[in-house]
Amino acid sequence: MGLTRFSDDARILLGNLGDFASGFVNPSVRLGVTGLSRSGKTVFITALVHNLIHGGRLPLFKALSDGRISNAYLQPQPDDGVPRFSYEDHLVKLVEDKEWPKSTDRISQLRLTIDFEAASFFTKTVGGGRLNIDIVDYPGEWLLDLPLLTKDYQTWSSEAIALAKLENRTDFSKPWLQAVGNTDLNARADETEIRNLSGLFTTYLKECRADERALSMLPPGRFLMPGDLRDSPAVTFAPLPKPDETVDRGSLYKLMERRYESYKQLVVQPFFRDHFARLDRQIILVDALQALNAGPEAVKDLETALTEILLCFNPGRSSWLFSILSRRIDRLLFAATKADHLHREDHDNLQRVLQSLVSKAIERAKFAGAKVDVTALASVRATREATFKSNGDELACIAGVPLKGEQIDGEIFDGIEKKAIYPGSLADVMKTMRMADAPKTDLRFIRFRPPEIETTAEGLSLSLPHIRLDRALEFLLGDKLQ
Amino acid sequence: MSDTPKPSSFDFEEPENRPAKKGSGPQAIDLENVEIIEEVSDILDGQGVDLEDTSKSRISWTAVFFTALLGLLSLAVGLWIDELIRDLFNRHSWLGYVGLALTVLIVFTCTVIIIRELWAISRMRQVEKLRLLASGAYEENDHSEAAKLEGKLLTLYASKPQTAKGRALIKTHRGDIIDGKDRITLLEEHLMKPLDHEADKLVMNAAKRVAIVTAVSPRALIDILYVLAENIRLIRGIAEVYSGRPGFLGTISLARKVVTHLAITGAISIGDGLVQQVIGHGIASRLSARFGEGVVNGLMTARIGLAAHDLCRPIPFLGTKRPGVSGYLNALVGLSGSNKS
Repeated sequence: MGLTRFSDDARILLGNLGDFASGFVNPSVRLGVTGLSRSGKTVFITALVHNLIHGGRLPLFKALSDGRISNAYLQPQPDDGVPRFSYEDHLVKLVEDKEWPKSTDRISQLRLTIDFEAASFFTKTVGGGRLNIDIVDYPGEWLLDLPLLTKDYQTWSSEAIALAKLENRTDFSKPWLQAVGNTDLNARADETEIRNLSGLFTTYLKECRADERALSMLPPGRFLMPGDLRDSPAVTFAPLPKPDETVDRGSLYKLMERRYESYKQLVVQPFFRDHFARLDRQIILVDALQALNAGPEAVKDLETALTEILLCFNPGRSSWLFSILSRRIDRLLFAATKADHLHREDHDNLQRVLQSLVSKAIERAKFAGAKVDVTALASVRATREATFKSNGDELACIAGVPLKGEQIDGEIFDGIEKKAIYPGSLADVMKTMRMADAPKTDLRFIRFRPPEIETTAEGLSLSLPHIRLDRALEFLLGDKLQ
Repeated sequence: MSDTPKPSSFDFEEPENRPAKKGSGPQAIDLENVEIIEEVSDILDGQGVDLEDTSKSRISWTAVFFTALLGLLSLAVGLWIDELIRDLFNRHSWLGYVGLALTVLIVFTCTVIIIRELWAISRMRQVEKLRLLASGAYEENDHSEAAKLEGKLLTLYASKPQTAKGRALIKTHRGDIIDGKDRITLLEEHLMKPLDHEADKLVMNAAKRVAIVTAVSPRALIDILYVLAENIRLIRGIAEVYSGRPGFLGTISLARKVVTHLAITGAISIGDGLVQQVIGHGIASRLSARFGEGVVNGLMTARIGLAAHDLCRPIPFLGTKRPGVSGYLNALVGLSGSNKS
């Protein structure tokens, strides 16, 4: 069963035709910034825009380091119906308040335009040396909905119940499972009952997401982040076990099933159609550290979630003819974010962890002809590296201001004092990551506050520091700026 | 590592009262006990130029013979000078002083020349080591090796004005976290490019001169001598661009290496050059047989220049494209004087 229906396909095709036509006059790239919640999408977009607009330190981003970019600025976005990405607010929060942006609760869009001197003759004559980059930001939770498109209510329910019965979830899912057990599937649909079930289900999902478990596979996404659909019938349902006998039309089960279908149709389909089916480039941000913090189950859960989500995308080489018919993602970058929480010695290991998490998706994309790269990056680098010397031993640490409330080794941080942290080494984790009965890992990745922005001697503030953001940009956009 | 330390945090303010808790839970550390790294630790320390010859020494009878002969000859020369100066003093004391002064001058300059030669050879060896370091670091994508290479290159080129801009730029990225491969590409892009440009120009000009001289010279012998001289000059020039004056011995050894390099890579570059060479020759020889010869000689010079280029560049062509002979062909066949660089 496909992800889209025929009418959707027609709409996507129409959109692609439009894009193709306008692409001649005004070349544009739709950059998909994909990632589960808290993977750092908003920060990535903010850092990207800030570094490009202010000509930040991006030595590996060739167009900029060659001095070919004459100007980069924000423009009114093409879709008037979508809120604008509030870049300015996020930046102020990041730079002046030294706080990370709050989790995104709605979709927003941004268009960044780059004026550049083309290096190749073709681009110079046809493209006119201007590139529009369209970026969409959205709550990462919603991404979990994409796999639902291929599942019917019965399949999803049985999967959800099986998941809830897993050992690491039972303590949270118990109230809900009990309520489900007491429910008469054939009873007449009653709104109170439905709300009760749905509420319990939502609570269980939310509890699973908290830091100590850090689970990822928690669809449907709107239950975690309802946006403007809060309390609407389309987000008020819950999975139910398959009834033994046929159920009546007006029964609870039938109503739940109908609501699930309308959730897919009214919520998930448009989201997918408008924002994901037409991407050119994609960066997938993965916060592997949070999952590593929580242990092997969380890592496995993250892997499942990523694999299911990534199946929804269309990677492959794009030829111009093909790109009219169906847009393809021809470059795919997997990025392990928050690399600044680790010493550089461990970046390679982080990269390897990510590589093993998304190995299936990488294979699939490569097979389809897309270019794939994996990297560890930090959109905003909040730490410095340090060495701790004691008794002749050296410990590679990172130094920064830990977020308030973070704790390590029983010590709780106040969010003001600067600390050097030794989070443990990833090298040993690599071996045990896949083991079912792996020992509890000795890792504790602490979140830090955004960094002080350094100023030059003349008082000019420098751009946001980062790790490998330039490399990511070069991979994602470099060829478009040739 | 069996005894891996556990995660931990350290205070910046607290005095040094807590040892690193090896084998305990996650830790926080005092900033005072911690050295904040703004840059990669200075790897230039104690780097020095390694003069040690690694080649195994074996007793060779020829070597003993020549050493003995050389010793005897130098004794003879010494004796001769000694006698000469004595004679001069006998004739006139001021003549003797002049002779003595000249001898001192000869000895002094001789020492200087020897030192310079040794220096040049050591520098060439250093460049060779850098090439090994660079290709190793690139292959392994090793960031610490790449940073080491960067430090060495920065010192090597500290006095080359062409690289000033590149050096300044590289220095600003010194402490950044950049992958090994990327850092080397960056070095090639910013440090090597101006030098590449210069070397390229040398090759181009030499090729052109050889082509023209071959085309117009009246005697074959003149061609041969000229081509030889021009090629030696080219090799020296390229070595100078990348690492400094090669000296006499350096030039000889470099020339030998270039020939070997050509012999090794010749088979590979046939695909690159032969076709064009034949075509180029064909077109050119239609115009005139001499001119055709000129083009062939010019291409040969270009090839020698590229080989020298390969050998002298402290970073092999890893992240950037290696120039090929075909680039020079157009200019040679056209010889319109348009500078293709």
